[in-house]
Amino acid sequence: MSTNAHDAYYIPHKAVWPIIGTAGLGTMLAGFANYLNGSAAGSTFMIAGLMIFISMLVGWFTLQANESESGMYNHGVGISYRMGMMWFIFSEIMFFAVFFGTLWYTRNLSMDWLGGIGDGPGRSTHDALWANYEAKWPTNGPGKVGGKEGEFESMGAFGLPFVNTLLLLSSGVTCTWAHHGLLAKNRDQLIKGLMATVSLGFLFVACQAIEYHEAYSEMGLTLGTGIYGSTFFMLTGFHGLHVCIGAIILSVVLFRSWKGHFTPENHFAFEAAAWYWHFVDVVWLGLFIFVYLM
Amino acid sequence: MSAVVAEHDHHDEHHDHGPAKGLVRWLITTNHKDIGTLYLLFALAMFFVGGLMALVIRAELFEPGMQFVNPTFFNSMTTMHALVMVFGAVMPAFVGLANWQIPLMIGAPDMALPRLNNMSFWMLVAGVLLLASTLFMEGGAPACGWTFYPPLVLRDCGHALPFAVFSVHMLGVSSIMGAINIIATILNMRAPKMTLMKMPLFVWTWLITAFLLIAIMPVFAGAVTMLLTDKFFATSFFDAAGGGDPVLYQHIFWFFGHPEVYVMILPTFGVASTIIPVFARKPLFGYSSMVYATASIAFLSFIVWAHHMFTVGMPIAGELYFMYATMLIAIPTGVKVFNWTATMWKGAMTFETPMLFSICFVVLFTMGGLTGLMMSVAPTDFQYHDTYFIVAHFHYTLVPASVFILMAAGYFWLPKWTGNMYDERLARFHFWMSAISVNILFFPQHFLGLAGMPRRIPDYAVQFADWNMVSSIGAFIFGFSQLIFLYIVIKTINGGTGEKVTDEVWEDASKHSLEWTLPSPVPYHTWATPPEEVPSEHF
Amino acid sequence: MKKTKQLFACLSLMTLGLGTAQADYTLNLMKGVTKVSNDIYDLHMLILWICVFIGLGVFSVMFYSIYHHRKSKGHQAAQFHENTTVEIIWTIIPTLILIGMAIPATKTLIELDQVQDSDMSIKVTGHQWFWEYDYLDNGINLISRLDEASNKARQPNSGIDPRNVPHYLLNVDEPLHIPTKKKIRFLFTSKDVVHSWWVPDLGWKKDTNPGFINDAWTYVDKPGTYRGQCTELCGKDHGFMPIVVIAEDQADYDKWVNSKLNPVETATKANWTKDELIAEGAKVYEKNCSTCHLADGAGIKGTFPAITASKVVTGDIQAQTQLILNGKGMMPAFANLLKAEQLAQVITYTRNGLGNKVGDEIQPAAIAEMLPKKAGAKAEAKTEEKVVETKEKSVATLEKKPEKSAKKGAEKVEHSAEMAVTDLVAHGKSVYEKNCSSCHGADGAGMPGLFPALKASPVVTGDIKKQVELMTAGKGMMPGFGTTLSADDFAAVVTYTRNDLGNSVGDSLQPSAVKSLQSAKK
Repeated sequence: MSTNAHDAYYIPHKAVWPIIGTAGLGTMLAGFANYLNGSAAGSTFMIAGLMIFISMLVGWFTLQANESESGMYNHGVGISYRMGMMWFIFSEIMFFAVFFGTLWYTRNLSMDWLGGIGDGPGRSTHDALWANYEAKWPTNGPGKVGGKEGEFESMGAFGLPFVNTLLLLSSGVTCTWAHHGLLAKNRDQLIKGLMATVSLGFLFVACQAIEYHEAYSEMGLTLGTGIYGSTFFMLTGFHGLHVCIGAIILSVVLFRSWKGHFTPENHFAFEAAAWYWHFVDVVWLGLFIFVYLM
Repeated sequence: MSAVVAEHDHHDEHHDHGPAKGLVRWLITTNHKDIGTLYLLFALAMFFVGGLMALVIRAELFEPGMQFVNPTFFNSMTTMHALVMVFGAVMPAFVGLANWQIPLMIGAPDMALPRLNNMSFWMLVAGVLLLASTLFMEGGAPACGWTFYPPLVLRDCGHALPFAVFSVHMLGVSSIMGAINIIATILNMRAPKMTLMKMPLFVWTWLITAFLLIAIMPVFAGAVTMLLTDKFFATSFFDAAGGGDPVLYQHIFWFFGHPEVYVMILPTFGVASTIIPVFARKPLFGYSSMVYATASIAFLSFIVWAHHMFTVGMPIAGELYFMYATMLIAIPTGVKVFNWTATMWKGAMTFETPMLFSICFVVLFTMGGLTGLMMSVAPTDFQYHDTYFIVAHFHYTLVPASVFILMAAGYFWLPKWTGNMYDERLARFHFWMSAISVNILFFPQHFLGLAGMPRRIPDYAVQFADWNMVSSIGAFIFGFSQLIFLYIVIKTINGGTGEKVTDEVWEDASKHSLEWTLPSPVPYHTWATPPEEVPSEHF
Repeated sequence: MKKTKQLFACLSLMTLGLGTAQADYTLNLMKGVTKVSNDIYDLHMLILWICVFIGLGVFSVMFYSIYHHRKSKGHQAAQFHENTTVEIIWTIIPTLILIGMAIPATKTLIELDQVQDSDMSIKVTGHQWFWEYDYLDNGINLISRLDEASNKARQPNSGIDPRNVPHYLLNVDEPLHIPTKKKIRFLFTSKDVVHSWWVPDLGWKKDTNPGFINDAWTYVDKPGTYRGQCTELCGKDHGFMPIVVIAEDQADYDKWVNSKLNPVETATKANWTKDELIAEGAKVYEKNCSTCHLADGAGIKGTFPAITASKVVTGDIQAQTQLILNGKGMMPAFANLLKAEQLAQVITYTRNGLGNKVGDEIQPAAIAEMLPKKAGAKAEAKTEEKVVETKEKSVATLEKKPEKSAKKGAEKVEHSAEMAVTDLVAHGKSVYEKNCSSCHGADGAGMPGLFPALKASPVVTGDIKKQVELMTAGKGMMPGFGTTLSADDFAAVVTYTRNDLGNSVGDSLQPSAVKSLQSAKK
């Protein structure tokens, strides 16, 4: 907490990357919005914005890595970064909570009202509006929205999803193994562990892609397949996106390990990436239980 | 002592880091004071933009009949007024205050994550620009209410929807980054002797507010993302035919929305708890109960959301639960009001403008709180819901509460920041104009609501004409009175009355909080070495 | 303390005085005309007075302090900063007050929830921007819109002073009639967005959620006319969809029911003169068309076509009539919304007014022949009533309910390949041009933001059954084509959209499948 002249809390005095990143993100989102509205120029702006955003990420993180390696960050700065990462992950948890909450609400409340089960505000909904509907999860609703002729298959738990669970769990183990390597100054173990983790991550994404392809082409299960399809793809899709982000972050950490960065005392980037990876791992366990198993 | 620290600061290793030259300074600055200034000026600008929209609304409602705008534009104005005021004015203003004050008050050299701090601000600007761009779009700005209820927003929002959604995403990222920064600063950067229970209440309330922000902004982002996929990617979250439910959106929205209103009121409590003791020349009464009350209000805010939805048709058990939980909020809120009153009791009060605004806040916020209590009772809410009674209620808790306290904060701290004194006579005139007109503006709306006038309508039955006219007159007086504030602020920044203020500015203020031990105006860099001693709340 | 008390008493008296003075101006909540609304009023007054007394108490202490404990009076600041006893007291007392409020509130809330054992049921459906009422017991169906006088006066710069319009914005053309001293159950739903049905005199409001039913009940003692409004923002004309409830004693109510069920044949005038038709047509236009096409027929460019110099209006009269009967794009089908006379009037008016001078006319009799037969309308309402009546039982028996023919219908799609895809596509093109191209564009590109593109549309390239359902029932501005297109046309246009306009899904839909799919829906 305390600082003195030689070990001061590092305060940068100007920052060019934030405004560049903001401009990139703003351009990208404005472009995406235009694209959704059917404007031809939309996608151009989107890609341009994305490029700017990516160059910001590269630039900013390079700057941080160099500052870190040149010893500009004291213990206090490290604590701030760790707090920042922790609270960022907390915000991500809340983001996923929305979709888990949606799944819970539609499975347990609105589906019952539509199906005429129980007594509540919707007590007449079923009889007056959806008399033919039988409430049973998985469902694409009383209107039989989406699917092949309104029919679809739900995704079973014990196939690829189970393989994926094993993949992610073991990647968590390899990640921790790499961390032990880092702490024990065993760079070989660090690099091998990280390589294994990143590979397992991308393997997971590949399996997920196969699963999606099967769902779309054979099972009649798409994003548009009623509430089951919506919740299924929203949850697993955002999770998949986070796996990709996590794997990219880990790749950067791997690259830095190669270059000889990190010491047993100073390796915030590794820790942050590992925390993030474990978070992604835990979310998957939630998904496996609530989306696939139940 | 203060002078010594500041001198030390200037001859420190940072002496070569003054602000960058020209406009670029503001684009790339990482200084918490610069960023605080940016936030505050942006908020002030948005306050006038949102205010202008309010005046369009009140002009149309001046008389029955449609005179100036068409109904769609009217709805756009109510929607944009709310969004601009909430996300563009009140929230950024409090973040600005946090940026300026938190490091000064806890003895920190800057915010914990200065680069992120810069990005928070510019993301806010970009988000508001995305939103504002819809005003000039074919089909116009969103006209579906700031709550974006589906299916209305999916049917009638046209080109504006994706822009509004992405704007919410950017504002969310901005708020989350800002909140993370504030938490890290408060928990990690305090002077050695500044224990948690010695922190000024403004810092405490912001710590809790920051936690609320991190918890709720992702929820809002998730909700609007589902709107986007329902509209463009064929999902069925809010469509009964596919097994979804439009009411689900309302639940998610208000899970965000209720804590969100406390994001605007908790820092208000904090500033009031900081100003009132200074002018009562007494320590704050019940410091620890204030902290606990703030924490309880924050906790309760997460479990009462559906009181915004008593009429959507919930199971009776749900209605009862949300009614009871909501009534509970009255207890910690009551404790706060009693504490402020007890702080004034047997003090030696003087009534400079910040104190006038703060007292006015306590009185009028209590009124807004009491109408809130009336609405917490579900059966009576069946009558009040979505009428002008609600409009009166939440404006009482936002305008004479949050906005007045922001002005109080401006008068309170501007002399410290700029080293110049504001024009006290003009400021008092501004206060009395605002305090009187705000009641002319909002008090009649209680009558309108009880008599049966729904909110968000561009035209009304003739029995509502008289009070609407009174309300509109109040609105215009209030609106134009704020130009006095603008004038005072500009004048104070440019030299004020010419009278140089002391380091303490207000009598014995340094007994209350650290910033008054620094020189006036506050140097560009402060607390390079943290203060040795910190004031105790219980001097 | 003595002074505080005096001030307190004085202020309370002032407020009481104000309270009585205010009563005449309806500054307070209405008492309403039901027991529940009176309970709510009492609850409201109770809490209001509690709030007033708490407020006055706190403010008196504060202002006493502000007056006496000021520096200018030489008051020395005390330095106390806590007092546990006081803090406990002011936590416990509010808690007790809250419990005192919660008890009557709970009772009233539970009473409001008791919808069972009703004497009759009315289904209320919210529309953008009018109300539809279905009497589930006798099949009466009402469409209730803002009355004409208010509608005229509320147009921008209409020049009409609303003060001269009786019940401005609170009057409808077709009020809801209910009997007094009967427990009436309301079922609320919506066809489009969330609305909220509020008549202050009944004591509550209830949201109408699309796809769901909410319910509430009332029991009115006093005959009278009670007015209310929509209270959930529902778009452009949210402020212009009032509610009027006429409560009358059973005899009057029965009389009204009879007049609705057996309308006196107002000996349909065989021949109207053109001037009569035009004069009446102007009123019909004002009420039903001017919202979109505007009072002067200028329309809104890009969204609502102008009537003035319109090709449709100045073209073939039969084609115009068909369009109005069946609807097109955002335009609703008026076959069921207007009577033959009104249709004849408004068509004649558009051709000879609003800047048009075609000169011809159409007689109600000609329209009547073109109208679809209305048989079964009542029967449908009857079945719905039964469904609701059996609700209490059905909850228990629900799980056993045999699944209806939905699946069987779907199976049939694969059988019966009678028409070649190319034939369907060829025929579909003409159907498309006639029915779809004005909104979705001849090339299927749509109109960004208003009408979705069909090219690469997820609906068109997705599941065929979903597309059929959407086209049958309609969605948003899109009308349902289930009844307006023949099975042949329907199948053809579906196949066309999937295999042309830049799409190549490759599948097709047979007319026979359309029939089975649509009957399965029923």
